Amino acid sequence: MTDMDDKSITIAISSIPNTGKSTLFNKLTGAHQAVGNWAGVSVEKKSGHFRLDGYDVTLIDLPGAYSVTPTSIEETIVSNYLLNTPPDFIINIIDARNMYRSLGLTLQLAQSGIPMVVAVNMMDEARRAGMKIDIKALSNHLGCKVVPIVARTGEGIDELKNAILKTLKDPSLFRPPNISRPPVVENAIITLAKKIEKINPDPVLNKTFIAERLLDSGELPKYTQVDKKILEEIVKDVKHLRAKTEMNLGEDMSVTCAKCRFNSARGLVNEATSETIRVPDKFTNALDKVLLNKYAGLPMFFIIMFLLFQGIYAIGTPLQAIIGDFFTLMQSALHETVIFKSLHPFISNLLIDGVLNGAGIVISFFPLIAVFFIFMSLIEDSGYMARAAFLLDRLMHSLGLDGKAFINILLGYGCNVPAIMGTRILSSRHNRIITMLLIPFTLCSARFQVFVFLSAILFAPSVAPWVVTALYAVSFIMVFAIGFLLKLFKFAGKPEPFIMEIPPFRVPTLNTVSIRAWMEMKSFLYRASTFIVAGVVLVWLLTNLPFGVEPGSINTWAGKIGQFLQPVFSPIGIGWREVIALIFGFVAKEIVVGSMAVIYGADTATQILASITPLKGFSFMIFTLLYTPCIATIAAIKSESRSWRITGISLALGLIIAWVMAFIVYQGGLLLGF
Amino acid sequence: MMIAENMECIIKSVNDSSGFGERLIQMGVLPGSKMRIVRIGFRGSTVEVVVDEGQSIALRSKELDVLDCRLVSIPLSALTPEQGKKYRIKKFSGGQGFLQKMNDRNVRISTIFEIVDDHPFELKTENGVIAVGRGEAEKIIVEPVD
Repeated sequence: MTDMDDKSITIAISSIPNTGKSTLFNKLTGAHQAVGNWAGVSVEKKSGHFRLDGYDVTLIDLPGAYSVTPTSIEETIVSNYLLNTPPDFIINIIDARNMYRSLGLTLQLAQSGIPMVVAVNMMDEARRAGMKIDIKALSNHLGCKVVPIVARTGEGIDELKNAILKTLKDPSLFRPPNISRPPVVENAIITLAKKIEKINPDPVLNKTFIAERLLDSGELPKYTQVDKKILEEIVKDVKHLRAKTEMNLGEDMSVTCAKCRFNSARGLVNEATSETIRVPDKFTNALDKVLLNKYAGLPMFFIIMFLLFQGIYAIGTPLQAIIGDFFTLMQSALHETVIFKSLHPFISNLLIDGVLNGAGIVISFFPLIAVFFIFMSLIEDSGYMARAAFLLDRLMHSLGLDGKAFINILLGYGCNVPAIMGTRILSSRHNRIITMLLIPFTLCSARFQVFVFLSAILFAPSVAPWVVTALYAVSFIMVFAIGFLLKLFKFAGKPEPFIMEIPPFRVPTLNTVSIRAWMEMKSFLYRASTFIVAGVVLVWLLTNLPFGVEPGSINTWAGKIGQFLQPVFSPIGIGWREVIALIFGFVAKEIVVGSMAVIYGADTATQILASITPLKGFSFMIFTLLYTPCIATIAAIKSESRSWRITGISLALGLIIAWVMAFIVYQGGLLLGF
Repeated sequence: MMIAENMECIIKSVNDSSGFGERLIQMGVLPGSKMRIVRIGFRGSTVEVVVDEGQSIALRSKELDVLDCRLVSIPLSALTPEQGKKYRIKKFSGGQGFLQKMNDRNVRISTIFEIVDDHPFELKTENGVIAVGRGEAEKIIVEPVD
């Protein structure tokens, strides 16, 4: 069979959070995945491909949602997707250990009329707990094929594919299930369904489903070809019917609808399972007694964070340095080659020190990002992330964030770039944006190098470590102060209500963790590389143009900018030479030290000591601590927020706060007679 | 809403416009569901509850206020003296030795009492006043008598 004979179909995979959706998605598609985002929102949209005997399947990973009734971004996405662009098929996943929590969504999806297969995942854990599940009973009640699987090991995946094939070939294997509802609701739904039947050109969606969606949350598919007046008529009917039923039942329509669903779910669970197991299993309970202990919990958290930090940066940072060194060697070697020597020096320098240098910076981040996401996946997939969030919630709640954000900010102290990419695990856009804006104020390892270098020159050996410690303190204080500020001005809107499921502990799978690390590196390459290379080239041009001037000297454009900005920087004790260093610092903080060597020429340390007082140096360090960390961080913010506005605000916030703090330090220091 | 570890209550209704209650409902936490508070986080602001269907959820205690709940059981240790407020002993969550000790002191399941003092606990029953230690009070689960 050739690809040409294959029929293209779209299958959506949908489930509530923590049911092993990504694991199944990865098992089905392997690494054939593409990451984008859902239109208009910053929620990740993953899609992948796989072949199924005669079908070329595009698998869409719908965000984890508890229901199709939109009460969160994820649920809104799922709801819009199903109503407006219904897929050819749905795979729904149920958690075998706790079917009740999954079945609410399952029943809604089954009612939609889109052919569906249900996978009951984590059968191994259910079996271990002595639980039996009557698959046949589930299948009868849900009106579709139900397949027990273990996504982690791949058990039952072939059967699942088989069930999909069979249902595709014989649609009669699927029928929407019945849910018992109070007579008033039933009648209202029938009335509405009839009206929709009349106008509805939609062959896929079940009319009863649309009627219930309308009654529950007032959503109607976007029927562009239907007369507006008729639609308005229906909306009016809905309002009337809703008021009538709500009055009759004495409760909110959404409560009634949810009750009907979950009552059916409860009945189904009782019928199909031999025994309901308590989901927090013995192992989880025992572990939680220690990890969430009133007294031991926080110390354990800091030990785990220490190990995490060490794990990521003790492995990642040296690898980054090795790649960086390799590129430096390659650059100097290339300068000596015949080809580049035959080119105009400006062109060869631009290619080698601009473009290639930029590419080197991009690549040098790879190992760090890979290691970061391997460790983050371990923490997240094991279930510890939710515990950490619980422990730190009190502290972060004061900033309007939840506990998970603390981990991202903490990891920023190693490197901002993966820390910002990691904000994707946070639960709402509000939290993501605020955390993204706070991370650049952390004292990352590149800034640390600048501080060690400068404080060693400017301060006595006994004082220098204290200077660096003070900078750490300033960084912590600023993160919290700016957090409060952003909360005060309600910068990213209102925080969402905090409802976080605490999943049972689980051993993460190698497959999921490695695919995640791989995908992150790929997306960093796609989304951030052009931006980073362009930024590096721009800074190179600024510090090398116009033709014929000494690179990094006062005669370059950067030097001109430095002089031009002199009035702005003199109140904070920063001269034009350091301004050039700061401009270099946009590329990466590591090269600030190197650029100073270029600017000050031979015997850098003596030169610096001669022209910068300790106070001026400290002011310079404060500025370096608080302004934009590097071009890669800006690129990460841009690609994560998908907003130029947020990226611009981050830049401006950094520069303004850096200037204000340096001003306070420098002028305060002068007043105190330093 | 009063909050104590090992307390159980049944949700009567959800009065909410903030979106918190709406989300709980979509998760299957509905009027009629029983909730148990498993643990209370640092300084009482975050709590972990287990819903009767077995889901573990972390919430903020402040947001729990939108739920109208009926108290079903609570450890004696979480209570304070209140004139005229009667409780019934529902169960003991201790071992054999503890059960024996309680039995010897005439503290039995279904005993109805009023709290007179909580330093240490003094319970007024129809058969007189019983003294109970702090540690013991944690293992005595009671329910309010209306």
